[in-house]
Amino acid sequence: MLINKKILLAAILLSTFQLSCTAANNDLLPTLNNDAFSGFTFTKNKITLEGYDYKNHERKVITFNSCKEALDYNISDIAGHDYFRFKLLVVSCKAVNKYTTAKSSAQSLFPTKLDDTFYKDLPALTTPYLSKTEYSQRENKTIKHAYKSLKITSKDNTATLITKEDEIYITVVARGDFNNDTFEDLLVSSEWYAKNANGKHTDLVILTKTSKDKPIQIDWRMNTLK
Amino acid sequence: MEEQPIKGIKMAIATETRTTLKKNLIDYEDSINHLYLDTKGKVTVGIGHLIANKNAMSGVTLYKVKNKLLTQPATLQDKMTEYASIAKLPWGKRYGTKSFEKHTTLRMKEFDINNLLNKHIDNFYRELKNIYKKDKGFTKNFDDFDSKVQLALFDMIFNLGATKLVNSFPKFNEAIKSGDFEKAAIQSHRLDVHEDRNKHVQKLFEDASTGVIVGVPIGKINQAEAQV
Repeated sequence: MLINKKILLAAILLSTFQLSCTAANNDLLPTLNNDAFSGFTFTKNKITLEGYDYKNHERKVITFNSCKEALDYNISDIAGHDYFRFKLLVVSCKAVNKYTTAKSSAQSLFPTKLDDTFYKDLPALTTPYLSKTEYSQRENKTIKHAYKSLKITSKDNTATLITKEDEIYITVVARGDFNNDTFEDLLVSSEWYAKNANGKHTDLVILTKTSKDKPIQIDWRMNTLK
Repeated sequence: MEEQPIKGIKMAIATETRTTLKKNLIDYEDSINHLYLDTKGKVTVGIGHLIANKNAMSGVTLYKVKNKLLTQPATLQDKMTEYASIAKLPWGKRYGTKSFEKHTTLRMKEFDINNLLNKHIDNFYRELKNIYKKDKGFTKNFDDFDSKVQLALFDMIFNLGATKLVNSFPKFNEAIKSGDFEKAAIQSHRLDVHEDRNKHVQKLFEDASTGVIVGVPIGKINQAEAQV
């Protein structure tokens, strides 16, 4: 469920948590997909967490009570088996940080309701990439062109993509103007799982669209090519 | 875990290699003796063994617990009930494997976890032998690679699966094909994998490239131990 930021603050977040966004009349306020942030509570100047425990290399339980703690923690110290689950938390915390910088949008070229066709036409690099080669292979392609034998279903801001080798989840976690161009952007998290192996990857991207005639572009992503 | 023979499968993985593989996999996946939900909400047990549906519980050996001891084997009905009960719990980044323990009543023995893992190792071994072979242009068959190279390739395929290993890492495979393990070390880097794991695989290839000998190639050492 995508909820209006004001409702989020008032009804759920008990809030003195002030966001930096501004809104003029008729502008589209930034919204956050609350379902993607289970256990997150917003208090003054910080985001507190509940129920986020992980193990480190010494198999000691580390409890993270805020996004700041999670983002300050050296991910290399997390135990191998908890690495991915912790990375999912990092993605969520970075998403909330991005959200707090979002401005209201003067207009949006994204549909209000996102259906299977919408997800099929997203840039193929919206989903995590596994190597530089795979990045190149999917560059300038849409999801429907990059993935063979693709089955896609979508519900409540999350799309599930299934191929012979992949199981991929794409979730719109927030909407707002993230790049100050007055157009609404989408903040999208994604998870990739190998269907026939144990691999799993995650990433966070900002999708932007500034013209009806132009395709959706990736404006920013969390993971970078090394 | 103690090595167990696998009946009916002709295998030639050196005991030392298999043992090291298992140790690594426990580091990456952990060894869990009860059902839990992974981060995409799939019922899982042992060392990352995904159970596709409740009918697949027939292939998983679980026991009832009495006075902290594993007593009698659980019936299929017991196991399916446990599956249904776990499957409906919340999952995701908040829920580590341990959090599901209190919702479970059945446990796996280490022996059975080991057997499940052996099956996964054997499946990946078959795929590796099919990818890395002389008649596909490689200088050696998989069985004739140095054990360090074998371990590194096992790590790659466990993570990526056979198709991604072949299609998404062409430069890596070219390096293997030409026996350039120094280059393979660089090309083995996977994005979004724990840095320790990447470094471990990189070092295996680097050691292979510099001729560090840590074991006899799998195909040469273990004929006597091959399980038939």
